[in-house]
Amino acid sequence: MTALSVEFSLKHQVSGLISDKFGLDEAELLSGATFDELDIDSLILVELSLILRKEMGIVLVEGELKSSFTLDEAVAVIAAKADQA
Amino acid sequence: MSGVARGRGVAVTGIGLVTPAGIGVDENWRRVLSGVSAATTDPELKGERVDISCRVPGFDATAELGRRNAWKLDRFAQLAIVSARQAVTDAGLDCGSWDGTRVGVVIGNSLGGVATLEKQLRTYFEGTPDDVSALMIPMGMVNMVAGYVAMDQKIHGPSLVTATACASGASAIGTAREWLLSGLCDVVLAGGTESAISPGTLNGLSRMGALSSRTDDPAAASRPFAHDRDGFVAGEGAAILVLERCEDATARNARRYADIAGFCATSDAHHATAPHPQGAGLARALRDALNDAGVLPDEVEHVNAHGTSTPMNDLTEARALHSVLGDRAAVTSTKGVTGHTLAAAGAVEAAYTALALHHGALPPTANVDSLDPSIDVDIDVVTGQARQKRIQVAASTSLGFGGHNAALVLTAA
Repeated sequence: MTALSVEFSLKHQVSGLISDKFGLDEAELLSGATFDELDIDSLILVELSLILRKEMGIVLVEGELKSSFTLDEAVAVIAAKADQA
Repeated sequence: MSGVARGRGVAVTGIGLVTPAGIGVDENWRRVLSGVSAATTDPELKGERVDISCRVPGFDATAELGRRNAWKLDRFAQLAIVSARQAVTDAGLDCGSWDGTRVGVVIGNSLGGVATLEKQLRTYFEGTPDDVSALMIPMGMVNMVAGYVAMDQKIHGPSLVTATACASGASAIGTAREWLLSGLCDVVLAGGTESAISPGTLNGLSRMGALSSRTDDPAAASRPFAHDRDGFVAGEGAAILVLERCEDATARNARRYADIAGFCATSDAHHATAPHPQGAGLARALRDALNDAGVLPDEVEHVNAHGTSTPMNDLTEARALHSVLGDRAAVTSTKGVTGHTLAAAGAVEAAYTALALHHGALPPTANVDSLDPSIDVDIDVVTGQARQKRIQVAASTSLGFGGHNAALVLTAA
């Protein structure tokens, strides 16, 4: 797979997780809105980090995911971590 | 008779009920009048020393609140939010159009999100600190339910959780009445909520000897005032009342179920968990609540008693009721049907008392095959069928661990 398609697949994996665990509509997540705009606050981002570690083995440092991020920006951070893993 | 010195009354204009007796006022009232217990074997308590409970049947938080909201809330908050929505709609009010700065919310709770806390502590002890959810604290804290209802209903006046154990719901209603009569608020959502049917909590209650061990016959386990009662059945639920000053309710032509005419709270200062043997603190609370309402003891026609079905509570409460009211009032414990909803109980039972005044029907006490002969005073316990009777004055009594006593006096609107 190309780097682009890996990131595309990761994006759908992450949006699927957020949708499944937090009850958000995937279309909303993929719309380019920021987490803030989607009512995903800092506590929920801590919860997301926990889920990413448990379900995908990706370990993020506290505060790495920011509520000002869009899904694409979050996925870029997650992808970089996945590369290191 | 209605209108007797009711100057300090506030009107009950809306009721929300999410209890073991059902979801909504109509389901609750039908079930409570039927006198059929809601207690069942609880699959989530399988293997525990007590495996029966009274849960809210068919409560689907995701359907009621949406998954986006439901997962972030412990069940004690979910029940209260749904109950509050019912109550506001029932009152013909709308949080989209009211002045939220003039609205308050006060809700009784005791054990908060104890099921969430138990689960997260297990996660912590079996895993690492990083496994603990960031939502553990906001889901677990008792005060959060008032905050969440305020958010949901756009309430910007005072928000408060009262914690007087099983008297918490009654304490909340008494507090709400003061907020209205002092002019602090124009509308108050007042009630109680509890959802603490977790293995840890039930084992704690069971080790105290508080729970019925009649696990082979759950439907007969909650039997207030019966000679063979042996403890309560743990229940969950929420009740929220919309309260307004009577003149405000009248001015907007609101339906008034009944008025909260008097309230008093007292403390036993006697023992951590045992009530005073003569029910002295409860008797004083009831007497002073009647004074507060401007009602004479012999005017009281109905009492929705605390009646937990523990040997000690029902005996001492009967003595307290008799010492103030004699044997004239028809006494019911609706816990025979609902089990003991702990901090919600005072509010659930205040709602049932308001409905008894509104509908002219007194619910029976479930499972009372024969009254306890060791209750050494005469009280008129409603057994068997509901009694159809128009009444003007009723009371609801509550007691809590810690020696908290509370009495509410309600009058026909």
